[in-house]
Amino acid sequence: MAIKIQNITKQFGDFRAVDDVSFEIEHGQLVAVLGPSGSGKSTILRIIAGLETPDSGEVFLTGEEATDIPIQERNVGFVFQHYALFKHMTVWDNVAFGLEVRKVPKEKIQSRVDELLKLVQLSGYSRRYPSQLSGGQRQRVALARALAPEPKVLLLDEPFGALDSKVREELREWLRRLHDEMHVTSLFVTHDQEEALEVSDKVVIVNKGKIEQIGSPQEVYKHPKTPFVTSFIGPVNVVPGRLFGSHDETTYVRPHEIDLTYDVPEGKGGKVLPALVRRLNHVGANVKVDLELADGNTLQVHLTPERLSELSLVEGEQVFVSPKEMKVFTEDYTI
Amino acid sequence: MAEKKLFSFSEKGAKLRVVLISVVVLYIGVLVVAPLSALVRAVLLSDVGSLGKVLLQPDVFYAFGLTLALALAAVVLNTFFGLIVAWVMVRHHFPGKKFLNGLIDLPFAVSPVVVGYVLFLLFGRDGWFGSLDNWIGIPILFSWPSMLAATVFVSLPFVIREVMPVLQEIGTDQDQASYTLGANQWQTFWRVLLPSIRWGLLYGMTLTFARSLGEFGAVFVVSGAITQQTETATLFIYRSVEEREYLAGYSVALILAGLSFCILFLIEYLKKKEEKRLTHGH
Amino acid sequence: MKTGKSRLLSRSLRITAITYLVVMLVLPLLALFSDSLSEGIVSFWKNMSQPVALHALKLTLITASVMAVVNAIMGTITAYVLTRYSFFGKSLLSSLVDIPFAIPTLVTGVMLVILYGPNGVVGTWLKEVFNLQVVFAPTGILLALLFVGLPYVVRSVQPVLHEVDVDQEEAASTMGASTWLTFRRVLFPALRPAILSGTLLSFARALGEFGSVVVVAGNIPMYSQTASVYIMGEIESQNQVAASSMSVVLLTLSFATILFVDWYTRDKSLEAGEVPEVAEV
Repeated sequence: MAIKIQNITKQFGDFRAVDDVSFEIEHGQLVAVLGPSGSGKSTILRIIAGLETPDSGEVFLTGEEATDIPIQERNVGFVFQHYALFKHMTVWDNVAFGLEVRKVPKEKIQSRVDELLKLVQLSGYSRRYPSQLSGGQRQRVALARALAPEPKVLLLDEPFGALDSKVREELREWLRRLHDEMHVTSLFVTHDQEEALEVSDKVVIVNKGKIEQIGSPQEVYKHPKTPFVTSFIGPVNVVPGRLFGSHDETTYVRPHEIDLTYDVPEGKGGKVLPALVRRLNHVGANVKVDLELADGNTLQVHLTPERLSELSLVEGEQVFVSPKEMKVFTEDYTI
Repeated sequence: MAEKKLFSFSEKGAKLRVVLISVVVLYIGVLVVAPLSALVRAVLLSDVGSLGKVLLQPDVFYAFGLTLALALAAVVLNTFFGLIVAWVMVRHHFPGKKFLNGLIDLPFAVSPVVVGYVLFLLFGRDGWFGSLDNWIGIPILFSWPSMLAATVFVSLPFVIREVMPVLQEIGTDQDQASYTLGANQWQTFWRVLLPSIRWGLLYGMTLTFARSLGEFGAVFVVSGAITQQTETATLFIYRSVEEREYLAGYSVALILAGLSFCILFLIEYLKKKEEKRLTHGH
Repeated sequence: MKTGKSRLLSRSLRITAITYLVVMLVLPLLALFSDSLSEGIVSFWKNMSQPVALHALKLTLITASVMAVVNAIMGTITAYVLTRYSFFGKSLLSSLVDIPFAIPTLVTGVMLVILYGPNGVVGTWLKEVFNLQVVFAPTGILLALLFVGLPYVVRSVQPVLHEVDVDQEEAASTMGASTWLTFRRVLFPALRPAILSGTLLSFARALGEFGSVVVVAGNIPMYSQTASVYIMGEIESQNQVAASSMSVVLLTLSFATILFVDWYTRDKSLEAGEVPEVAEV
């Protein structure tokens, strides 16, 4: 195991930021810790780095107990949310810093820094200062700086949080490729489910200081274990009461896992519901259809443009709703 | 109609502008420029020979030497302790912090005479530290230790007050980054923290130096003003004026004023540099 | 982070800081207060109610107050001119404003005596034409205090003026408000805290001013002797209780002023949403 944390708890005043959290990460994986803001995900990352001390629990890095090892000796690479580049140093000096404080020989520093700057595609920028770089470039310098001392694990706190959406997408693809090249065990924190699902090998979903689910992106998307995960990962229709059956349950259906028909499809007897088409929205790759069920609940369905033209739907029409996939949780779950 | 109003306003505005600028120029002219030129004129009107004679007195050299030594020592002490105090005030939490923080401004408020007098009380024969001089073997009152204490006291807030906001602003990210990269606290201080606060610190040190150079009241009380022993530049000026040795007093005053100007320009330069760094930093 | 070594360092830094402040600031304060009350509150009162002491205190308060009022008005105008207008020699004027911060106050006193003294050009002229004696009189004290206090209001108002949009003023004046009304209703409320804190700081400073005053005032008891010069005299004549009593009064007045400013401005900055505390390391 590259990283293992066991029963970690951390309290700030009255606020329990991390509540008995345990998980393991294998060598070479790229793992996302996903959760809304205030869920304790950054605190977990900072505890692994040694920037915070847990109230209880243990941290293991590459198999060794690291809970009481000072930050300096943990040899983790940390990329801060706002990069925390040294403003008074050039790009080159920033990347070289971790090697210089370890008294690595000069020639070795030179070649390692050059290699890293090439890797992050900033070779021509070595003499610039952080203030002369764009957000994306700063992010890459921060990454190169964290990688320079060849850390055992790489930790990234909201690595793309401060960037605009276009740069963000480019960078996360790039991070994935970089990771495939370097194979450094990496753990990153994000509140963006799309980012987590797209980039990582494994997702740890946290909410209110607790782990909700751990699994591959496929798993957490296809088989969410809790109402929180279901509604946090991707758009979902939340319908109070069971769509087909008893009352004290809530049904979760993803908008694109619903089909619409004019007639009751054969063999699907009890699994369809009548509904009224309220509104069609053609913006984006899918057409969004707002429906009203007989009991007054609303439902959103995403259809491909092809399916829509097959159906030739009109607002105000009556249709039948047939969910292809749905999740039912008993009601005492709160989201 | 609206246009006319705007026009009349701007005409009125132009008139107001001339009036206000004239008032300010006149005020600062009378208050600052006139006395300064009077001092320059008084010194320049004298002949070079007598000017050279008064300035080459050993008393003058001694006084300047002592003033510089005291000011430099005050800068060293207040930089060292000021950095620690600023750090603790920004990064630590402890009961009584607010009280201490308010107290830091005390030297800005206290009359220099009172400062001197308090030291006089502390180190005097019946004072709380009255026997300290026997103990360490050198005299404190009417000697350099109490003069240094007075100088350090009056210039205490500058480094602290300049460094605190800078420390506040840079936050903890950069030193945490430094730790994760394997640097120890010593390396982090010298290579990350100190360079980040250097302009604020330098600015505070310059202010400390300027304030120390010109200190008069507190040093006057504790020094005894003994020629060539405890006589600083300001004490020399005072004695000269009292003894009607006007040329000596005025010329040393002019040199001290000149020194202050140089420091003032240095401060303005540092300020610009700091502003540039701030706008650059975005 | 909180390993044994770093905790030790952190603790020793804190102890050093607190010890330094206590030795340098708290101890002297305690010494002064205990000395002034060493012979009881009665002798403290007796000393303070002597005519010479009372007059010195009164003169100090009056000159400092007059200075504060003049300084508030002229400082605000100066700040306005320096931020809103551009004209030839502006940066020189701006540098001149800082001179009183840099120049030793004793030198200030000497300069004023040269100019306005009995042998000075302006001094003789004023004496002959208006029969006005500036130096060795309360007027000289006022002049010295004005010089020393000049930068305080200007430098505290300037940044605020920078923040206030010219648009607001222009909007008010296009709505037909007169210049005076614009100032009173739009600009002044925004500037008031800065003017007040600058003025009070210069007032506190003026209460204790010594170097310039001792040269300019002539120090005639019951006429031109200020509180700090009075203390000096009492020290020289070894009248400790008198010196201590006046010191306590002076220190209390000026420190209370400074603390008020501190509290007043901090309150404002908190309202503006600043978060002053950073996590402890």
